[in-house]
Amino acid sequence: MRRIIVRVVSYVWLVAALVLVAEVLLRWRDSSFTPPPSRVAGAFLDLWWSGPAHRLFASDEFVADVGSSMFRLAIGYALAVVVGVVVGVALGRSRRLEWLFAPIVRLGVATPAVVLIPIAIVLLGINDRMPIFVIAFGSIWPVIFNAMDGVAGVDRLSLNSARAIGLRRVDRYRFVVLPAALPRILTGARVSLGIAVVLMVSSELYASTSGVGYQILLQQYRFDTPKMFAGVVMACAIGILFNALFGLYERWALRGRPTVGR
Amino acid sequence: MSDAGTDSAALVVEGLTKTYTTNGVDHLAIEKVDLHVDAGEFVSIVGPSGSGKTTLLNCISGLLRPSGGQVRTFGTPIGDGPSEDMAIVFQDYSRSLFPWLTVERNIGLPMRRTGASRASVASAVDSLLEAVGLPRSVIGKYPWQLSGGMQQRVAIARALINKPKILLMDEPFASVDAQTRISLEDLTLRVWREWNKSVLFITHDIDEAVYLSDRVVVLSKGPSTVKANVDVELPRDRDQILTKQEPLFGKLRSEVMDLVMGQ
Repeated sequence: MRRIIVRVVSYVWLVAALVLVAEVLLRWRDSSFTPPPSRVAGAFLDLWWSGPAHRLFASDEFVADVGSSMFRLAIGYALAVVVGVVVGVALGRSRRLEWLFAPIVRLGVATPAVVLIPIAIVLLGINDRMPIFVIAFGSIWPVIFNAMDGVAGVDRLSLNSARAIGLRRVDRYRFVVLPAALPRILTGARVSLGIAVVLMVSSELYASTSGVGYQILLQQYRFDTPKMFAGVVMACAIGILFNALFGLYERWALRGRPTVGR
Repeated sequence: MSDAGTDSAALVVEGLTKTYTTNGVDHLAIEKVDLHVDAGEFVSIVGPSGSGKTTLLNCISGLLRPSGGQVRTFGTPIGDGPSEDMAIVFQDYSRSLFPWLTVERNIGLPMRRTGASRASVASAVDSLLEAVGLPRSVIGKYPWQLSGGMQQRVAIARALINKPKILLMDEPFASVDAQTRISLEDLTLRVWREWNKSVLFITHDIDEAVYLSDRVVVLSKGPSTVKANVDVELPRDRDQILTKQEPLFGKLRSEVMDLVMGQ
């Protein structure tokens, strides 16, 4: 119990202190373009949590915008990870495929993914598929790159050992190749999650009719700065939520490994 | 010396050759090696470092494709990959065991090819732990939480679980301390005798080879060829102290040493 308290305090003290400083400074400055945190908090409740009790007070905006943002992020990111791991493992196991496709992977890793947004709008129009495509296609590269590298780097002796005990091909992947590459695969997936969140918000900022990014832009046009900040806070919260879930999964997946989690 | 090539032998290696090609240059690692292990025999291979002992073992086990020659187990040529008659114990237990699996899962993993039930895997693991002298409490641990000697015992248990007739051991005790090594050597002898295995044991340690074996095969410096077969006619029931005090032990030791060191 004490450890948990210490941990929570260590996580939030700096944020709390900064919020407090901002509150004092911004109240003193008193401009409608820079609302103090307390006013943003009020706008946050008003914008996202002013709905009926049976929906746990979620407002219409929460359901429409937070719901669709999280939906796009979840689908787009899941596609990136699943397809990325499959492609990366295939490239990592085959010299020939790696030779053929490595330049494309390098290009993908090096390209700023937001350039996909105008292309996706031209190809797909403004709908749910557009941000999903942007998220999936933009964040897949670190997954591919790391899975490829991780699988190519699996210890020769581990592979020999797996063959020596007579494991079939499927079992060799399941019990040896994938677990050996897992830390690298997760590193890639972690980087890609950051990119996916950025792409979610930016694709909604650029062209969308729903989503947290859309709400931020809408409130900016209306000069409702507190609500604009409330949108920004929500975007951060979604990022934190997904990263926290990822962290939990990572700890579970790497349990028992010598280097992680203790 | 006995006649190689009889199909009553557990393992027969005939004319085994391995050539590596690096940057277009052929490098001959193994040149026409003939050797055999009779059923129930304990044979060691010694050779100077760099004599391609591990390469030879990898070719014999089917992990590496030889450039020429043939390997047969009980008369059947081995195909692509290790034969079901064989199991291998590698030198580097920290890499040959899988660190992401518990001891129980590591030992039981080879049984996946037999499609055995969970319960029968568990009971096989249990009896093997006892056979290799590990307490039941290690079952839920990960290999890296155990000492080197215990990890190598886990590797031996894993090698035994599918009841192979032939054990190939590649310098299995080269990286454990002296006392652990002594007890692992005696464990190997016990397993070999009680379970009636045929063993091919690679080592660079001449004392170890003489102490363990019925016969020592001496390899030349690379490209490896068989330089000599030395029969070890020490009585069985070997003892780490008594056997090594026998005059014949000293004589065999010098004989093998001469063969290994001599040009």
